[in-house]
Amino acid sequence: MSDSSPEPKIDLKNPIVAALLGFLVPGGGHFYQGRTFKGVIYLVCILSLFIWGMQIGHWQLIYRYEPNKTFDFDVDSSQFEMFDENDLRRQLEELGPSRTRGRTHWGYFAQLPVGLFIIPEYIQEGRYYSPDNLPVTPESGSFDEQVSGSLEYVNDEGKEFRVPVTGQLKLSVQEGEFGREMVGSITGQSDGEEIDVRLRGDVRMDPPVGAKHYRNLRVNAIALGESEIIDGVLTAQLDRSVFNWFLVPPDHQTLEGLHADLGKKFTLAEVFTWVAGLLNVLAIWDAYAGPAYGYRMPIRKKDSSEEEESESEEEAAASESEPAKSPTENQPT
Amino acid sequence: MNHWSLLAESENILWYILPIAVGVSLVYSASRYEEKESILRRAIKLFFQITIFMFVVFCVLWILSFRL
Repeated sequence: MSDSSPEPKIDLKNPIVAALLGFLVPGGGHFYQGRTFKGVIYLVCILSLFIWGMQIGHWQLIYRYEPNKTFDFDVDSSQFEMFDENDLRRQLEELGPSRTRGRTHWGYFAQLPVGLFIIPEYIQEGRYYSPDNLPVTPESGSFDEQVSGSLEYVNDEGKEFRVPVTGQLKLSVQEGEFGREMVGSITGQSDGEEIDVRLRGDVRMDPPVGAKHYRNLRVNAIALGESEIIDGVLTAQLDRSVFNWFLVPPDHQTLEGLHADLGKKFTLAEVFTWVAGLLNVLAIWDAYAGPAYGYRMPIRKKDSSEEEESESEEEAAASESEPAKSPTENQPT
Repeated sequence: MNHWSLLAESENILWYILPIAVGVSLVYSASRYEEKESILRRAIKLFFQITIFMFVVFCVLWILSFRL
């Protein structure tokens, strides 16, 4: 039951610092001001809505720009064997997903007030769109990493094979007959046996930073050991470190995959994060300026008439001397 | 098939309204008042207002889509 005693003053301390903390962590400003109960409400409600939405959306819901479907930067057409339009499209698709900025994604601005996620996303966005974040090509230098994948090949007798391969992949750049090309090997195990696969030529590998947990690799295989000539392809998925995928903007293929997997739950997940972000606007403003209506709900007439009978005149006078609204100290002007 | 059984399915997306309504009610009410009791009283009231409103909207849409 509410009472009509004087409304306590709320010490907002430094409202700007409180608002900033509220942006960084929902409820952070309230903890700084000592308003623990409200801080817990904001922290639990806003953060759980946001995290729940992100979890449904496979942590790939924050992106400021819609990803473009295909490469549309200045392509040096001389590097493609352009027989016809379909061939060009195939070669462009082999380059991997585009990493150019498309239209503005307006949902991002609803997520913006939750700094806990938006600030890391901003950093990851910079890394993702960086000119250095390129697919592995002869231009990007040598490569040495443990991989696990499969090798499909045809031997010199025309027999087809498909075997699993796990081992150390080494690729380096060499000057070939037709310019710079990647040459290397993978040495490791295949079905419990030692294997040494010589690799040369066409290499496709996703950039180091991307929204998926792994990078796709595809490289031509030319020989088994020193002597056995084969015509094959090694494909593998290399794990990305958390730092290289967490909160990285998704590419077009990843978004399409999410839509296909989740259906209407994708939009639902987005709505969760939007609602959480917009609710944090209320929390930030509360940290900055105090509660909108006052310290407590107004007393109903029936209640107040009952209480007036039992209250002393001094208490009534004290309650009148206090304003109903703006129960804050250090209130910003 | 009973149409109401659709609503009872645990995977029905409509159930996600409830946690959103709880979050919205608590945060909105907390931004209006400071006193714990006032926040909780108003949040409970708002939660039922939202839920009833959404249920009415659901019923209207359900009636409009009957035998479609």
